[in-house]
Amino acid sequence: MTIEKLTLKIAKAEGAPCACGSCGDSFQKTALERALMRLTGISKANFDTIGGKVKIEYDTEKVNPPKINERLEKLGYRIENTGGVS
Amino acid sequence: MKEYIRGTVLLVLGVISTVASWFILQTSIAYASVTGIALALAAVACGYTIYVTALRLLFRKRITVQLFVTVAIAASIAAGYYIPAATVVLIILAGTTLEDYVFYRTRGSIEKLVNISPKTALVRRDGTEVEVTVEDVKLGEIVLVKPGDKIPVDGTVISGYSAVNQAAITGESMPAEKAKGDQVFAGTMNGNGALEIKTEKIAEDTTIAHIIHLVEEAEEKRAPIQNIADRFTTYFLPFILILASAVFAATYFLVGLQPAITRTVSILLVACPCALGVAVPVAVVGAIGNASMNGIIIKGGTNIEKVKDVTLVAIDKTGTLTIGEPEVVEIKTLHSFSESELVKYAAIAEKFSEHPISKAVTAKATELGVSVPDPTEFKIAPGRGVEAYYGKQQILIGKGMADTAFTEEEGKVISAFESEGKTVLPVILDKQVIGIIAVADTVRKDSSEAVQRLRRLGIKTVMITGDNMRAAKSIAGQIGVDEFYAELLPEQKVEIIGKMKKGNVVAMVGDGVNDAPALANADVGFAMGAAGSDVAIETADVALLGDDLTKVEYTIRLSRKAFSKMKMNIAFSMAWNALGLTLASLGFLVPILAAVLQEAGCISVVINSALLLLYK
Repeated sequence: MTIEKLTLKIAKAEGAPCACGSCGDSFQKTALERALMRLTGISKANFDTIGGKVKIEYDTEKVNPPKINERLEKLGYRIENTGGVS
Repeated sequence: MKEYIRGTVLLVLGVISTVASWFILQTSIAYASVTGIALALAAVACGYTIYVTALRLLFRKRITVQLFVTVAIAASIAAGYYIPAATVVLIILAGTTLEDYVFYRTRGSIEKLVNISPKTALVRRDGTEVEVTVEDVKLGEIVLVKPGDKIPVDGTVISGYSAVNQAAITGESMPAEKAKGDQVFAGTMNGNGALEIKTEKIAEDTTIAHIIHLVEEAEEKRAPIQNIADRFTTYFLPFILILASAVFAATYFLVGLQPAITRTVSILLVACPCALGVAVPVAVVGAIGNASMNGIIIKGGTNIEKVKDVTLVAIDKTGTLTIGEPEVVEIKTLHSFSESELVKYAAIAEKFSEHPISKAVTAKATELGVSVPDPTEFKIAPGRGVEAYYGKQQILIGKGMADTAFTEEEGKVISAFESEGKTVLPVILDKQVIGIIAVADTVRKDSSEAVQRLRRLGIKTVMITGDNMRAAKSIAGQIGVDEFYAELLPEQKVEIIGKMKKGNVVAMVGDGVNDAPALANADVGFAMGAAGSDVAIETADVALLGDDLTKVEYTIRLSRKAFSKMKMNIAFSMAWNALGLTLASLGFLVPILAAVLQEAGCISVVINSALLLLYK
């Protein structure tokens, strides 16, 4: 089991509930984090809604960045850079 | 940590220090004022996420509500209102914590789906049984499921018999009987029998995992009504800034500095478009979550808006309104033969035929408890019937097999059955007609209930089918649909849907595979019995995982309710904000009251939307 870290920059969330960046944030934050954590092999996910960054820890044997990107895009998030290992 | 737990901890700390601060400031002990102020400031510090967020977003050139709150708090502290500042922070903290909790619960419907999938499976390897995690089960491996356990993989039963409760997936509470050759799904609950299952799909490829992902995606998809809220919030904040400055200037010159500060702070605190911003997404998640717990997948907020407008429901007949498999529906015995004798002879002849009609006859024999010996000889006459021998006795089945004309009595029975759209099977034993069995596709027991419920919502129902006119007419009459079209080719179904769309919002209900083109052409496509078919789940706008047709009406009612909540919430938030801002500008609000008003507005909207989860 090899754990890697990955940071993705998210351009704009299609489903961002609140234009003012206010209380709806936690609604979206938990949704994204939980959706990622449900993917087999992802052990940690942290979405910083203000900076638009998602930090992910994953098991390289079970999941890979393209699969994570695909999941994010299906959830309505556009990824700005595919991100490197940080 | 869960957001609402962190919020609760901060809230408790804040309340303790504020109360302590207030007591200490009342006393005359040494350093009372310094200690009191320090405690109040500590309480203010509990709202640190607000300030941090405000500054981070300001740094990104975005002015937000958090900034208003930060400025308001800073102004109150500067003016020496320590305890009011702390109180305002605590009210906001209490509000957001409660909201976070409601958000958490609203999202919880997916969690319920997730928790139903077991984590381990009992697998037969090298002759022994080993327990492994579900991800490590290999395709084709035999999984053993004990009575009362959850089924860990998707697959086919290879041995055993049990009643499996599939409510987790289909929303249907009646257990489904599973025997050799039947498909079972991960996450469903095994009944009293042990099952051996050949693994076909594991972990993320299982139907339940697929459903979870679809629900997640659906919940994040925007509803068009959201745009109204967004447009409003874009102009809202600049407007608040202008209003706050104007009120400050006017009050300062007309009344004085003190009221000017109070009014401005109140305006900044009462102004929050967040009720507006969360009203729609929470309602969408609430409605989709509710649906998913009932075995319905609504693919996103857009479909909620489309479904609510449906005025006509077109329903495919075979497999949707009916079960889709022929059954023996009527038996007429002749020449003093008993019903079970008749069925016994018919079943002997049909025993080795794979034709659906033959299966209907053998199923009837099983139902009557008649034991069926093997025929001595057996031959199928394609399109006409069956010829078989049992010992020396000759058994002929089928209208086309009779070599002499039917008597008047026999003819009457045959034409009566046929006029009802049934397939007729005369059973001829040694040249004598001993009885007539009628076979037909049977109507699902909830079909007519489903149609009636739709009618109560003011929705027109139309049955469409490729079947012949006679059978269609009989079934349409039994169910009570408003109109029906028969003898349609698949492309004609698409055409008819197109015609019905003029002047109607059309929903089409079908199995999602054979009817895929018609489903796609309708305004909303409902796929029924979609649990076993990824294609059906994928192509439909709304997938009904079970076979319960009444869920169509439920989906329409739920969507109407959800949409009316969205509209109500948007209207309420706008009115609430307008009221708060007016009161604050005129000096009728103190900052604490402003914060209470704002949070109360937000929470009522969030809870109102979240209540959709409980809608029935």
